[in-house]
Amino acid sequence: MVMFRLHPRANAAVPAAPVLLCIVVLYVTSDYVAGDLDGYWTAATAKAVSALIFIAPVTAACAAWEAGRLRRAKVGDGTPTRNGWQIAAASLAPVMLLGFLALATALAVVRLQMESAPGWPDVRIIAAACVILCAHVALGYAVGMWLPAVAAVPVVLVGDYLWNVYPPALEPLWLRHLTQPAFGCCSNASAVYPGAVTAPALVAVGLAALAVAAAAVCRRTPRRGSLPGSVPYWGAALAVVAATVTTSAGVRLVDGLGPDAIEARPVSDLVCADPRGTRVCVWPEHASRLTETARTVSTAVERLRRVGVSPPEVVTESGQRPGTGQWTVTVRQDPAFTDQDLVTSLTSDLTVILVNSPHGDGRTHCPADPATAAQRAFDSQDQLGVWLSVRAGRSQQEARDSTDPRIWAPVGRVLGTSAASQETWFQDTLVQARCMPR
Amino acid sequence: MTWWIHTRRLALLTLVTAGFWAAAFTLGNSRLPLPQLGGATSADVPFILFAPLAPAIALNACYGTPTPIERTALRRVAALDSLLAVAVVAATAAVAAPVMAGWLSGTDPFAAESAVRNLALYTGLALIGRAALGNHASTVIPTLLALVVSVFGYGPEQTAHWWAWPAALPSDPLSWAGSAALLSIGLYQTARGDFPRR
Repeated sequence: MVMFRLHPRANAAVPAAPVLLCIVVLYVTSDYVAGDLDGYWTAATAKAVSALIFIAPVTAACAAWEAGRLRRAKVGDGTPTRNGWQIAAASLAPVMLLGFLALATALAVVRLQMESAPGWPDVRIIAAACVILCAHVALGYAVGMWLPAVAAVPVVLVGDYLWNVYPPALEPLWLRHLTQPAFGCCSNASAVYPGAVTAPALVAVGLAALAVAAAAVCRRTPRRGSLPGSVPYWGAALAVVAATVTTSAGVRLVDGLGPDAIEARPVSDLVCADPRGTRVCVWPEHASRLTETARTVSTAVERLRRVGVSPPEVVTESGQRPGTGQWTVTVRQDPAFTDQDLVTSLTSDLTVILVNSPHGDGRTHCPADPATAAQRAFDSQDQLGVWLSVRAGRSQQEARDSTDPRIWAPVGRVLGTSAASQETWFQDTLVQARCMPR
Repeated sequence: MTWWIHTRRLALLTLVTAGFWAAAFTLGNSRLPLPQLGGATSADVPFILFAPLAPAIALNACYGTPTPIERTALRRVAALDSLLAVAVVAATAAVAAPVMAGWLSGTDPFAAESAVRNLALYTGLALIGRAALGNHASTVIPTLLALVVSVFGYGPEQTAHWWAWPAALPSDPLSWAGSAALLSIGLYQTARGDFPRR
């Protein structure tokens, strides 16, 4: 028995495919997605599946159009030999294939924009995206059964698009995590919050249940035989209960989240090296730069030790538990991110650690006026950061070129003095930087 | 005439159009922050870009697919269809006129003027689509235009590109002239249904 008889040429997915794929490629190569991928697959997967804002409406509209064709053909009024599921599947299989192809294209284009990407795409995020895609296709099919194609296609296209793109503009902030998996994920130092992957999939399951029930109770839906009188009512009630339960569960999973679906990345992911006493750890996607990073960081730590900064036990990319014993450094895959940038990132984080570290000086030297104290503290912290970066190995020329002349002037003066004078200036400036009103 | 009124579902069209007026004059100036791929880093797209799609879609949905019997009708059914489209746009203009003239406070003239212009544009495109693609696919054209403008229509200064008429400021004469031209073409294409076929 022939289960399916596909007619790809006649399916709405075929003319829609080139347009959708072009938009997906444009989107994933735009700054929204390609801006900061940096080889981290979880972030790259989240950004690639954000193309659902275009994929879901287009596939749902194709499903609505296919439903309209079945409606116009009055298949439901005849005596179909296949059941409703098989008839719908034959119409929707090319639409689903288009959706999966568009998702795969988004992932492939994102991968092409990464220098290197150890590991694999995040399967959880992809699975959630597939569930959402299926739900939107089912919803498009149901709307297409209830409304004529002339109304169903535009209603689904615009309505689904707004459903996907508008929640980030709404309060409360967690609303955005109900429509898109792993929204706002992630910098290298963060991992995706699992609840924000499950929640949109749960909401999608509820939507799909409502869509199946709506399609089932529509008298135009093709089916073999007819439903017993009470079945549509029980089915509809069951779908409403399922949608309520899944949506409530989804809301419970994300109602504590802020704008981004992130949590701290496990420290166990770090890759470490121990070249000259200081342990240096980077994320796996930066492992190719570990040797270079370890060498630069060790040199910088040694230079800073000579001006009175105690060396740390570990320098790591993880932002967890920073302190005098653990400094942080930022690494990028991009070859344009040089040793000088490494040193600058190291000393800018170090400056904050030094200013915030416990000290016994009190605030006796601070100006009484909070505004004056804050202004002086900000200036001192900036000067300290520039001075530390030069002492750690950054070239004076580059530091001068990239610094506000007002900040650079005292730093440039002190860099020309003796080591003892510089150490005194360092301690004095640190005391002033600690005058920041708390 | 009774049959024409019955088959064109004027009650439904009136309901949708009235709903559109209420939404346009109350929410018309609210803005949706949508992703931009046309050069803008971000742009707040006005609600009035999408709202006029509703009466344009309802109009074509109420027309339905012309039945063969209309070819033999004594009355000029296609001309009546054109007049119906003109009536929807003209009624919207009449309702918006006091707001555009500044006689009513509390409602933004931007929304009223954009509502009239965009309704004319979308209606014209839907009518052209009806003549070119058939009734079922007719509303896809104005819908795609609205979506394309919302995604690609804004440039680096967050202002609409010259071709993005639905997003243009009401003071842009090209958007008004283009919308009026497209509406005229759509009305003519619809009225041609009464002409004998070659």
